Amino acid sequence: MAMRSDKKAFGAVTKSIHWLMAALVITVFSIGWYMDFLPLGMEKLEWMSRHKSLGITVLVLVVLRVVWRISEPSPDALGALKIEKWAAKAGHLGLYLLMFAMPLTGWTMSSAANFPVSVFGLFTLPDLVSPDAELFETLRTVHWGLSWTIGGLVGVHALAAFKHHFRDGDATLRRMLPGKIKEN
Amino acid sequence: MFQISRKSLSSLAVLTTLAGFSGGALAADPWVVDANESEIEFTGTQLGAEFEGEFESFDATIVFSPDDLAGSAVEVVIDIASVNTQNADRDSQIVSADWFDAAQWPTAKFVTKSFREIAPGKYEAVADLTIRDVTREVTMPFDLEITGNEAEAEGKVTIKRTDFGVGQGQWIDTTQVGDAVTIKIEIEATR
Repeated sequence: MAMRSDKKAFGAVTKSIHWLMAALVITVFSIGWYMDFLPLGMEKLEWMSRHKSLGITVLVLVVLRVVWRISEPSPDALGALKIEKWAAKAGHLGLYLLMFAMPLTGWTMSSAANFPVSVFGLFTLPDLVSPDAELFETLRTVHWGLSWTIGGLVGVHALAAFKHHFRDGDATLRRMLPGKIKEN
Repeated sequence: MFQISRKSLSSLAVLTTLAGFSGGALAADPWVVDANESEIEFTGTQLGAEFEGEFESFDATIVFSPDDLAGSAVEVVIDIASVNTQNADRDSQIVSADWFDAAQWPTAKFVTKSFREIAPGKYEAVADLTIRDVTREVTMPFDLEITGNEAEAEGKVTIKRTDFGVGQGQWIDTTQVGDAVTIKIEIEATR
């Protein structure tokens, strides 16, 4: 399998980062909802710590991913309908935007709460804004709203992949899996 | 000079004693603190990241002369409920029973026992710091600049919160809320 993608197949780097980020995003999302329900205590803080560290990891990876993506060709979307391809493009763009927006709103809301972000205890990120209770409340609502959005969009993304795989019988899902595929 | 046991002697009594000592021939100057220009700040760590806060309300009684360090004394009484870390949730935690328990111990006290000049304009204060029901001796180095009748002092001391029982129960664990807390004072005063 080639490292780089071409017009026919995804390369190893794109596949790896896709699945790595899928796992990360689902993990950060789950921790986020779990910690929200915990009472204020040591356990909540521990999970918040992990949520923040992994969220920043997502931010770093999405930057690398975008740089990598623009540097290589991507296989064309499969599907009979034009609107399908257009919807796929819009959905992917939305996912990229949300992978930036989630960590950035999270980081900013931590700054607004005067609760700076430490990444795995290794280093502390600079504050993006000064402490501001009102801004914090707004960002919390935005972060919460976006978490529903990304949850929904990931769901649609997966359903679309299954639809291509099971109903259309095309290579959309298979070509993102490890290994080489014969044809699209 | 005198030993202070943790509970038997109130800090106020100490100050009275100190004032008694300083009341002799070498009268150190009394200073009036400019509350607007003076601050008591602290830096703690949470989830591995530092955050800053301050106690907005405190009273400081200062009698100080560089020429009469033996007759100098400072007492600072800090209103715990005036804590501000720019986070309402955290502020309400800080005053709660697990932390400072402001309902039971509404103030913290810093009462000097002696001063030492370590370099021109640089001093060291040995003081009893009382938080909750725990009194411990701390040594705080500070810089002091006296211009005419105005003085500016700045000092820093790092303490361990668990030494004072700040953080009870699950919070004795210092992995998420760090043990070390640096207290920084900035005082402007006139005589």
